[in-house]
Amino acid sequence: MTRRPVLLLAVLVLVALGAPLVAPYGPAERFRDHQHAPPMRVHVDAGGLYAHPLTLVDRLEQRFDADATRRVRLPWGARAGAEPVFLLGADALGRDVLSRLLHGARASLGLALVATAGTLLLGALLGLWAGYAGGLAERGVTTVGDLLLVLPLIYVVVALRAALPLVLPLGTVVVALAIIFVLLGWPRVARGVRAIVREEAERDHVVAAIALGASRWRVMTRHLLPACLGYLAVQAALLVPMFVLAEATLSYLGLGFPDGVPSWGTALSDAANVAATTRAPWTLAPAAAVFLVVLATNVLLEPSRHDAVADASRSG
Amino acid sequence: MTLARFVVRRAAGGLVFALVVASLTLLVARLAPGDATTGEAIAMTVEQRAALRADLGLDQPLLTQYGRWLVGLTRFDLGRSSLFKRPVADLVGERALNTALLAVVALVVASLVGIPLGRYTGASHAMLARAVGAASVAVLSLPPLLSALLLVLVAAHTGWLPAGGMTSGGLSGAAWLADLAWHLPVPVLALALPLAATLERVQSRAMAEAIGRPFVEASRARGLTRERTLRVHAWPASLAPVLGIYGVLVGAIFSGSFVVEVVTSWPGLGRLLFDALLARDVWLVAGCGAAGAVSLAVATTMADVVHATLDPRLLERRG
Repeated sequence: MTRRPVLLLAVLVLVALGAPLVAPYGPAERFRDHQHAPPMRVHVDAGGLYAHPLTLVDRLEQRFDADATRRVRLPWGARAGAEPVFLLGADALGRDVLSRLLHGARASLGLALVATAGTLLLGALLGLWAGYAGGLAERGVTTVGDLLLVLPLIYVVVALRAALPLVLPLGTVVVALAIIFVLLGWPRVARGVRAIVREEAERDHVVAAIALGASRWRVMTRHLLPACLGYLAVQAALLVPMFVLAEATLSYLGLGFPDGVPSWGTALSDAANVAATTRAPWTLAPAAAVFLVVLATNVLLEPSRHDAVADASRSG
Repeated sequence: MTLARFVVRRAAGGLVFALVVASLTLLVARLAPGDATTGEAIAMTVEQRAALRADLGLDQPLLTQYGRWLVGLTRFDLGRSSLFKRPVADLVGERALNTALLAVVALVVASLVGIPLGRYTGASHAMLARAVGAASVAVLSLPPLLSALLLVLVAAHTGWLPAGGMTSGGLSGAAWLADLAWHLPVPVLALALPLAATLERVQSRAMAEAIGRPFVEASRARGLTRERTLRVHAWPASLAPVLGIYGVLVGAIFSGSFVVEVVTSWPGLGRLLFDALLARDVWLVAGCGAAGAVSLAVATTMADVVHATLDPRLLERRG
């Protein structure tokens, strides 16, 4: 059960790091004659993949015609042909949706992964402390954690973010959002870690380690933490889509990344104009990216029904 | 522990919870840079702005403001909204009702769709059952933000349904009601789809588990038909985890309704809070926080009471 979430996280890290590198165009590169250009169809010939270039027929109605007599190679490799290829279409400013999607992966996934790392760290520390020390520490951590768990996350995120100055530079936004995510996310991690630690601390190997004079720190990191690793991996895989979604919601509301930064959320807020989106539904592509991240988590972590049936019949 | 004591204890806890949440929202809103007069500051003289601040009670020390707000709370006086120029209590009551309408209809729709589907997929190995299960995982991955954007797009593209708002305005009586029903499907579906998928999954797993238990096998051995075994024995036994999930769904509905309200311009509590936060309308923010916390406490208590009535073991475990 540990391997799947770790694999998923590794893939997401790779996508966050690698996606911008394979983007055909820059995130801010504008093609003024291709505003709201539709996705182009890809054809195959002896020389590889190509598309027919689009020419603007009517700027006001944003109508385009594909010129079937000419062929442009896809924008990877030799970029000799000056004519752009939009595999997922272009947005209202004539920017390539695919390129912005790939560049946006870095901001959206990057923030989510950083926040997840912070959440795991804080949650594991507080959970270990509460579970091992017990007493007042345990009561404090569980009470605050339970209060935070009951609150609907998105309300609190929006309220906290809106309490900061509305316009902030990019670096500050990233740090502020990551801190807000960590402060709200840790109880999810701490709750399980505390329960595992409480159970594990009774085990013989831990009791033996204490009897042998191991320090508190050693017992916690060497004997209790390893028991939580599988749980932490699953929690990490659950936190990433949650934070991706939180970023998308915040940016959609105009409280996330600044306008110029390509992220899946800012792309959605660009597409919030219903009239424009109806004309160019491909600008909602980042919604599909968010959906894929959530879907991947659900599919990989959903215990298959047949396992459940098998378990039940075995125990029954 | 008796049910009555359970309810009283939960109600008291809910009241404390609401007070804490409302106080915290007030604090967060008050600590935010700028106040309700910042937006209009350019158009005012320094004296006018000071007068407006005094009128709103913003010139007092923080503790005095909090004290006054607490005193007002005992009379259900939540102050005046500077954004809407109306008493906060009226505004919040109105909008909370709109949110409640959206949430209740969505929950009913989700239950009516999700539970029968889950009951079917949990008991069947047919291709159709597998397809429904797979579709349900896909819909589950469509959080309200995405489902709302998608449905608004579909509504706008086809023109079958209005893409936003709650009423067209200028109507009354039956026409108003019909108009409201006309505006409901998009936000309700956006909220209900992921809920229905969650319920389907939980019910499906619970049903599959219940079918594996010995008493189900025994009733089949006694000669009951498959249909009767499922309806009378397996399904009731599978309901405990499904009822348990409703307490969790309350939180999901709150988060979901906020997003859906913003995307589909539904005039609910979530939208009101968002507008109030941006306008730095502190009393309105605190009022929304209080109303939200009270509804959250009431909803979770209701979910727990229903659960405890149907499954009394819960009371013993909590006692």
